[in-house]
Amino acid sequence: MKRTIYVLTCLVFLLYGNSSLAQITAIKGTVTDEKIPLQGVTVTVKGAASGASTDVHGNFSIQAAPGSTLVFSSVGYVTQEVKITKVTTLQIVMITEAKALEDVVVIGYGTKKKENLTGAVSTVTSEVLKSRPITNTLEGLQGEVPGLTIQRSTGQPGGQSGVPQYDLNVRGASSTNGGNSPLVLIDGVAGSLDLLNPDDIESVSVLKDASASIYGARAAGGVMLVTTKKGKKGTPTITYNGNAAVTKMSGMMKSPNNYQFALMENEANIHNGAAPMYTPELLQKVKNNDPTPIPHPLYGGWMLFFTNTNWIDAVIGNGFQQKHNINVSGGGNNSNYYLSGGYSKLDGVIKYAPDNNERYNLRLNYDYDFSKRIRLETKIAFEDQKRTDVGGISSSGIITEAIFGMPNHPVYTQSGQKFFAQGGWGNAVAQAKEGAKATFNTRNINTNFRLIVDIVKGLKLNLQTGINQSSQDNTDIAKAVPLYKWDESSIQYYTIANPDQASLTRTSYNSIYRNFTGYLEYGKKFNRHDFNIMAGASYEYNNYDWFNTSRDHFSTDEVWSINLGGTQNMTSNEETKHWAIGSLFSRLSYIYNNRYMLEANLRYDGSSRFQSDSRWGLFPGVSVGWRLSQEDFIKDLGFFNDLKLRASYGQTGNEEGIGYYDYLQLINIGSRSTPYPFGAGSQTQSASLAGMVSTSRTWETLINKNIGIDATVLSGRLSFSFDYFIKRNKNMLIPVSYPSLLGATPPYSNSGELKTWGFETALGWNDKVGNVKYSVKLILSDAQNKVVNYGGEDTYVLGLNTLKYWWDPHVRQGDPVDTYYGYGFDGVIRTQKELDDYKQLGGVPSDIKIGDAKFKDLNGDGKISLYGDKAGEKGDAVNLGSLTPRYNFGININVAYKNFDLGIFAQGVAKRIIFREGDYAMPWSAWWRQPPLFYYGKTWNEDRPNAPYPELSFGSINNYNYQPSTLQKINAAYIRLKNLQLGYTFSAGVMKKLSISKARIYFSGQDIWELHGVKGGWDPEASTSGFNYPFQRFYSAGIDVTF
Amino acid sequence: MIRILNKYKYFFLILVLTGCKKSLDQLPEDQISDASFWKTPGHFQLAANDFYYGLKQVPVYTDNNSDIAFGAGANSVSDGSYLATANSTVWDNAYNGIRSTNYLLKKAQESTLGTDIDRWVGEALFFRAYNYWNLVESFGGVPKIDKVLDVTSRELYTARSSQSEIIDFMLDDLENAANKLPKQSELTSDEIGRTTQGAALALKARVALFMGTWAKYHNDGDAAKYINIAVDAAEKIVASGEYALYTDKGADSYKYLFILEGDDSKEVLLARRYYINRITHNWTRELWFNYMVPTKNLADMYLATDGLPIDKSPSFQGYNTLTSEFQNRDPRMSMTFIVPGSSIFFEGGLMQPTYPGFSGSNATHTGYMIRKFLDETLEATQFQGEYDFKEFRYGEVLLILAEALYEKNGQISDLDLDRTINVLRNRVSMPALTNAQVTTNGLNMLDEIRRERTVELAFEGFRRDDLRRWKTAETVLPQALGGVKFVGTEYQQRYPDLNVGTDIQVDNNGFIIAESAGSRQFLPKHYLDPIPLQQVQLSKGTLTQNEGW
Repeated sequence: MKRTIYVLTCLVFLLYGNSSLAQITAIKGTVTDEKIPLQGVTVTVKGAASGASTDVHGNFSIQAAPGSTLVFSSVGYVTQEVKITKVTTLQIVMITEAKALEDVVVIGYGTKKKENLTGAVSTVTSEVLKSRPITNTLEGLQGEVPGLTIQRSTGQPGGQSGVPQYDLNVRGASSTNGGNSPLVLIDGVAGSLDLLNPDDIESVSVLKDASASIYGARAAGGVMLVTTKKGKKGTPTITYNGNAAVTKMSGMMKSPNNYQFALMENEANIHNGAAPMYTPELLQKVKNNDPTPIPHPLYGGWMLFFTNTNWIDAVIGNGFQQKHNINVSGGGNNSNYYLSGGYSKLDGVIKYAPDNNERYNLRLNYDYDFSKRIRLETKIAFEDQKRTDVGGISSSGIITEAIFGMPNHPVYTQSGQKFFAQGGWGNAVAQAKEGAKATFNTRNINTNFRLIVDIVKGLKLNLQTGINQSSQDNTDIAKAVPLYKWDESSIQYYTIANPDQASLTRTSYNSIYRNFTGYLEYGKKFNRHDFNIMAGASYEYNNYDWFNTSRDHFSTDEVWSINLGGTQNMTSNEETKHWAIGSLFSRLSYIYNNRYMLEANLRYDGSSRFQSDSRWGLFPGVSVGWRLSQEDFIKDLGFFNDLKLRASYGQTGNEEGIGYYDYLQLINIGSRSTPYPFGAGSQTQSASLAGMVSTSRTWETLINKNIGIDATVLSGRLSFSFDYFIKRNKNMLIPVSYPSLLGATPPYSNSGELKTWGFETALGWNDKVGNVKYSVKLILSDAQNKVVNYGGEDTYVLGLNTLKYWWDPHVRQGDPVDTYYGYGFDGVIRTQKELDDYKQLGGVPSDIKIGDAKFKDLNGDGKISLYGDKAGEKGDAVNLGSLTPRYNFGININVAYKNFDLGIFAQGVAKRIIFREGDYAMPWSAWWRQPPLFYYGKTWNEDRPNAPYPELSFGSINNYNYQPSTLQKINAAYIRLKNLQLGYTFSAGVMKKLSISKARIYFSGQDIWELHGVKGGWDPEASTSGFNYPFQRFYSAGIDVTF
Repeated sequence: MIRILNKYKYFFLILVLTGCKKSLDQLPEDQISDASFWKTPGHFQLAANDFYYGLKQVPVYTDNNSDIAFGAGANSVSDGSYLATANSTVWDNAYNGIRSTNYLLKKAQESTLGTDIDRWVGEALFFRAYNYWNLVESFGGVPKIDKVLDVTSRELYTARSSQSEIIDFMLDDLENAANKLPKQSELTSDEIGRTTQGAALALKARVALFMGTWAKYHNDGDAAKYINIAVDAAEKIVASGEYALYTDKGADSYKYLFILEGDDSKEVLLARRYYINRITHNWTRELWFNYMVPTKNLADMYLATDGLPIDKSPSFQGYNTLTSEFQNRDPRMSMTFIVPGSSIFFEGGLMQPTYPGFSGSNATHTGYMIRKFLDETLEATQFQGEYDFKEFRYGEVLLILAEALYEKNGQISDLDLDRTINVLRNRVSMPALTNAQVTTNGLNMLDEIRRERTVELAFEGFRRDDLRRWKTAETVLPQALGGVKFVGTEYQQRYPDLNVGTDIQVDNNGFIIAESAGSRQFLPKHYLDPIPLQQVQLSKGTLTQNEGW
């Protein structure tokens, strides 16, 4: 594209270069983008105050002398300078910044022209994050990058303590030991996207194959390279973006109302051999919403109510978000700057509760040329997040309480003044309203200095230092919230904490990361050869420490300070961890005749996690490319604008499965959560061995193979790319099963193997019909995996076999990770004969009866059992599929008509199964637990003999009926309208009077619609047990103004 | 150019390989390495502290697996419908515990600290035996591991020793432990709760009686040898004078022994400790909701106040009212069962009159309700029970002594009865058990000793083991589990909405049937539990499965 500008400019020169009328005259012209005339483009004469802007047809007229230079600028476009040699009519084509960026792709330790890329690298620009009511970059990237899967875990503002808000993954599983998330580098320094201001991002590159090998031992999960915005030289441009949104929860488990609840309870009692508690008379009272409670027929001291409380409605309402960003960009001859400030605040959807998140971002990206050869690039960012939550319980605890909350328990006591509770249930509204405010403050200071020296022509030295300091300061207060008896005669009990145990916990984290990198680049072109070589070294060090202290027995709940607590139960803990990694790296690229491309990477990494003699690992990568479109026989076809074939092979490492100091036998002191109370509750410590040591362990090595094709046809209107990859973890760390006689968890050994394979494809189309300009982009990616070798591990557990459950990790050789095992549900027993026949089988509960579940004796051994009798024999529980989502897709549609623009972005998963788990899996998982409304009227009962689900029961048969089986399988594929944006850009004429060069207003909705098959009220992206903080729909309006 | 590059490359190489080499050596700053540990007796004590987390924890619903208790539904172990499982936490936890104790013992052997660490060696020996006890009572003989194993150790594939070999090994450990451990009275106040000579002897007596009676009734080993050891160990505890029954609460002492009041009393040899703000449990609330209720089998076992079984006693009041069967009975009955209408400590500290619920989610399936282990603290009603679980108590020691003496001699003297069973009876003001009384009333002394044991230790987790070692499980366990008499009694008047035959099941005499005999079985294989299947698979053929599984 740069070439096009050059050619156009040359044309202008050629055509009009002869004339030399040295007088000020009106220069006229038209400015367009690649398709249509551009309105509002600022035209100035360089060095003069005068200026003009283009009209609705893109025309302008400006007084200028031949020989002077015209500057054309507009937000979102690359600024152009055109020297006037002859009075004439100019035709200026503006290039979008995004387009300009697409031409150059950021890769490890350098950049590369897109056309010369040989690896699988995807790039997105700031465009995709624009004008969306999001405050987290990952939220905005979900579904935008082929091969990058982003899953959300909670909708809580600012996330939940100790739970990663987003699960990031590139190209499926890399290991069963973690390391599945990409290494994120912000301007070349490892960092986190959590608090980065999305508005400061210029581009994101994702390295997915051998191209990631340049980052060696930490690149197993791929690499994400984030580049922040730079200042544009020239007069300062001020841009303001503001957005305000109302949010509503998108879905949660639905609970029955009091009447439905009563009917379900009666059924469960009858089926458990107990009389129903709700007599017809009581049921009638429930139906009538009778406001007068009676003493509970079963539990002395309790009341039985007939009114209905919807606890979810009682605690969940609308949230609100606002977000403001302002930035100034400009610069002089030898410097440029980008200064930005951002503020956002999200008030969560829990009524009354302080579940809010506030964030401040400041950034200065300042570049300075000391001389023509020495350039300094500095980036300083300050991120400050203040998250608040309900202390001692957290918003997710309130959600849990609300779902647990009985529909027949009122929120308030008789007089409506005090909060009610009985029977051990809390009161979600009381917790939200009266709980103390906990604060979680995170502050990051990220500094990044890079000195670039042009030593001689072609030879460049880069020296970079990045230091990221991150600290957290948390204050969590568990306050005693009193709940009253119905008659308010006394306090029933306290929720969140008992008065003596009301506690204050202060926690502080501190982490410092230092990165020192130096590398030399040398590039030379001669004849048809184009060489580029880079070599360098880096050292990274990370220190993390954590400290907390807590007290209880506070004398007041008005003021909270550690000093005010009693000293009898003081605790304090700390943890310190550090790691370091030293690296050497090099890359050689060679291009012959613009057609044949070769790139080779090498990295040599040494890690502190190993003994010094087994610390170093070598990670090579090589890739080749062939630009077919440069070949005459393709050119002759006249069809392809661009056509390229690519192939790559590379190795990356993973050290995530290895502890920081695993090569030493350590003793844990104080690792028990509570001291064993000898004597009068003494706080005696205990010591135990910290695992078993292995000195023979080393990195996991991943081998990435990739082939790809990129093509552009039909005059650039249709673009297509496709990549197929195979990733093998050759020496994966696996636990080898030994007999339990060992008495300890054996150390992992490098003897496993995981294979992951899949594809990514992207298809883009852009065109214009009349005044309507539109573009459509589709991306689709898939990754599957198989645990090829897991030490012969042939066992499995009923339910999810996953390594995410650290307390019960399971993976079975030959299956994918996250495989679900269950019995084959064989319907509900509906007749005596069916029952008698089924009871012939072994392993069937003795109290089974009509209405209960039947499972298939798949191996025909006459009993229903998890395993076969002998090793290798099949049991009746079988592989029901993997939970790994398949076929992730994104659809982007953009339409522009006159001043209006419309953006539609949908994201989804075409194949996904989940299984109902926990309380969703079973109605009445405990008698004190509400059954999900989902089961209402769907379970077998005497009057519903054909119902699809087994009977309701309080007996242990319930666990049998609703154990993991095909009955619990759900198709959880979904498509979700992630963003819908409708904008209007004001005509320049009006704006000019207000010194505004560009103004746009828009409506932008996030997550506003979805299609899926998950029943029962759940959000398709939510957890299957139903306790997560709900995700929200954002309905927002905003304004973008440039001065 | 390449030369320059090379030069720089070396420069970087040197920078990384030398300058930063040290920087790649990162040592932990918040943990101690094994090499610098085990230097002082205090270190050994810290390691020994960790063993206590292996003691039996509450809530325990163990007795739901027997004939005297019933839970929320049928119990597959109790009714004999259970299958072998892939893995067993009993198995895994025991061998984990054994490794920890072996590790300490190994470090002690290598140590130069000498007798300064004797006590911690004693604790390790005690807990090694305790872990083997958990294995033996379930599985019988198991592989004997007496050293720290590595993944390459051949001993990982040790075959099972016989039950008596394992028990011999434990008895040795316990004898050594008893010699190294302090007496109860020698514990400082900070050490209360640590294991003692008395606890080691108590475990020894328990294990020896188990093996002795097992050998006798299963005709499998030298019964006399083990019974003698049991007598001997129990006698030593009695003779030490360190322990006595808890009597601080007078007539109610039996009730209060098991909750907070009885903590650290003279009767406790070793308990799993709980403490407010440290470790608490929620057993009381769970028991309120009938997670474990007594059965008719247990109810009928309580003697009448005249010392006679109910079928022989004229003072037995029958089943006609809610409370009639509780009248004139061994007072332990109303301290183990909730007598309908009596008050129990409830939410908010109320004394709440309590009746059985036959409907609703927490219906009692037998009509009985449990009172033993119900705490009387406000904390307990708020999910924070803090009383200890007294696994080793003097009451058990007296019962072991009585049973072992009888098994040893085929009879027991009145003198011996007076210093064992009658001590327990005396606490609850029950008439003494004498040979004369047994003869006069056509009773059987062994049955009476066993009755006393079952009644005294109800819900403490002994019943299934007892039935197995007495080899009576095959007759007791297949019987129906019953409850209160419902038909034609005050129960039916009080609960007129309950439909017999649909809401509740009853037998021909109108007694509630929680689980019918037809649903229950006890096969010969059930005398031992199955070895976890996965362990059999991993053993390279060395671990044999128990017969019948």
